[in-house]
Amino acid sequence: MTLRLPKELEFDWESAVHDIVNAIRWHLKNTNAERGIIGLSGGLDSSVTAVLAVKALGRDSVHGFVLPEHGVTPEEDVEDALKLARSLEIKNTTIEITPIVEAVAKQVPEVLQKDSTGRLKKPLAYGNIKARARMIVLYANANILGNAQVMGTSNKSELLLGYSTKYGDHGVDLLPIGDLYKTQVRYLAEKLGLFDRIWTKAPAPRLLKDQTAESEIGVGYDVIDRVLYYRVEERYDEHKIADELGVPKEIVKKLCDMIVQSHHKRKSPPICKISSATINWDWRMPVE
Amino acid sequence: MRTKLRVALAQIAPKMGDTEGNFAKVFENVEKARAARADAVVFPELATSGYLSQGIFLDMAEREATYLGKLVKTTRDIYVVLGIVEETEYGTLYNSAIMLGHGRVLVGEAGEIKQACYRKCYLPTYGMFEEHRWFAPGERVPTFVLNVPDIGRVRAGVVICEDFWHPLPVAAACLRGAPFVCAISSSPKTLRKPDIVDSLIVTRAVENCTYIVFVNSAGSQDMVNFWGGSKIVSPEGDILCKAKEWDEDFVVGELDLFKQKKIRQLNPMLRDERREVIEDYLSAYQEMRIV
Repeated sequence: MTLRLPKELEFDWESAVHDIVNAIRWHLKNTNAERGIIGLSGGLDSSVTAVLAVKALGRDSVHGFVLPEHGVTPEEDVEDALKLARSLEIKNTTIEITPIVEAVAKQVPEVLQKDSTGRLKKPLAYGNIKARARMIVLYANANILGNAQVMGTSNKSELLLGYSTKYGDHGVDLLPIGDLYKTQVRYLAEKLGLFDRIWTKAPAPRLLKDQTAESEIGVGYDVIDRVLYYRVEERYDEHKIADELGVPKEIVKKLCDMIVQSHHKRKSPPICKISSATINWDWRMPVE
Repeated sequence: MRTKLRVALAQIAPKMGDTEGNFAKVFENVEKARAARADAVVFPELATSGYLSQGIFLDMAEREATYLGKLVKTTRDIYVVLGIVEETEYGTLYNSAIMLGHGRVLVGEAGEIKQACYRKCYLPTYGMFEEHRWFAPGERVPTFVLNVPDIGRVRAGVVICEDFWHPLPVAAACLRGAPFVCAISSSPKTLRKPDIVDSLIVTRAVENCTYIVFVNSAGSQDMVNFWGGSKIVSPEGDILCKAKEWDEDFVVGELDLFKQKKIRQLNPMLRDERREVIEDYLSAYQEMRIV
């Protein structure tokens, strides 16, 4: 199977790999870090990020963490994550997050309340605990290993839609594939030679059992990414996008609304301005 | 007497805010250029501060002063073009290029007006760029007179990055008699670059019958890559020498000033420049501002 991208999303994948590898390498050098830490889900984004990290830093400087949740993370995902770690010959550690999630749920029992049909009343609250538990584990290990940067795995589609957990999978030091749309990441995975199951499985945050991204959003990433492209790169309005792509207006509107509603996830928290040197408004400094 | 000016392209990767480390690279490359018998060595835009340094720019001029003083003393027999943060006595900051050489800071000449540095005229403030937040724009394109052993007086032009996306600055330097223009840059890699920049500098070289000495930053700052690829382009649009893309590099090329003069005679683009068209351009610009 060979993937083809829609014309708008075509890109020079070898050049993109070079850009990302170069940026990772310099970012760690400029921040005096010696290693990268990645949570490996067995999915597309973390697998591609891991491959790029190894290209940038070498296998000895990348440490993968497999962080499954009992009863939610499919066995095949764990197998795929470990298979990837073995093929890359990187150090890897498996840590179950289940006890952490249970401990939080015990203290905040509302997250487990169900309605009359047996569904969680607050699935978002419960799901986000898991993403944040993973963040805690990754940063604890980063601190233990020392001089480490936690490498995020979000892609541009998820970042734009806010399809991520603030301070969960969003809680990272750098986002190497954050300027590539999901379909471009999938294309890259194939070109990088990742085994089929990684780039053919349905995108899924796996915060809740049987959860998939496309069923939640209501449309596939082949459509999502083209809508995002025309909104963000070309600055078309919703009507023009719907006309151009032949996508129902309500779908386009939903995606564009998701962008607006998630601005807060892409920015540092706003600070109430009191002084004349307010951080991020007046006091603007680079990261490195 | 010789007619070939030897110019070194010092393609460094500045680290944001690391004045000491960046100047260490400057001194190291000046020594390399001297060892390579170069007449001049050219560094990228904002080489001493890094390009994306934001608030750090406000501290840079003070940090630079000591190192620049030392650099002047070490340039007894070589010229240096260096991208710096220039601060005036009024506290105004400019994205500038200083030219040092033979133990002194050269003064640029734009007609009757003297100016210590070349100040970037076009400050990109769109997309990822925010130069107007930090810097004031320059208003003229001075040239600098070098006195090169065995060659004599040579005028050098300098422009900075966005300046060569517009046609006028390189043309102004050439009208003032520069046979070569240093185009120093910190150009971020995007899907459209480096190809589009390569096209632009070839265009500027050909339309002005001038050598373009393009020196770009390497490395990466806050995950933004600078693509290097420094090069010398001949007045006929040929690439005479080229540094590596991405990584730090050092290459030396030669500018044949005799040949350049001949090309300008055979292809008299500057001679044929017309006041009427320039005045009409100015009128068109004013009409655009009114609309």
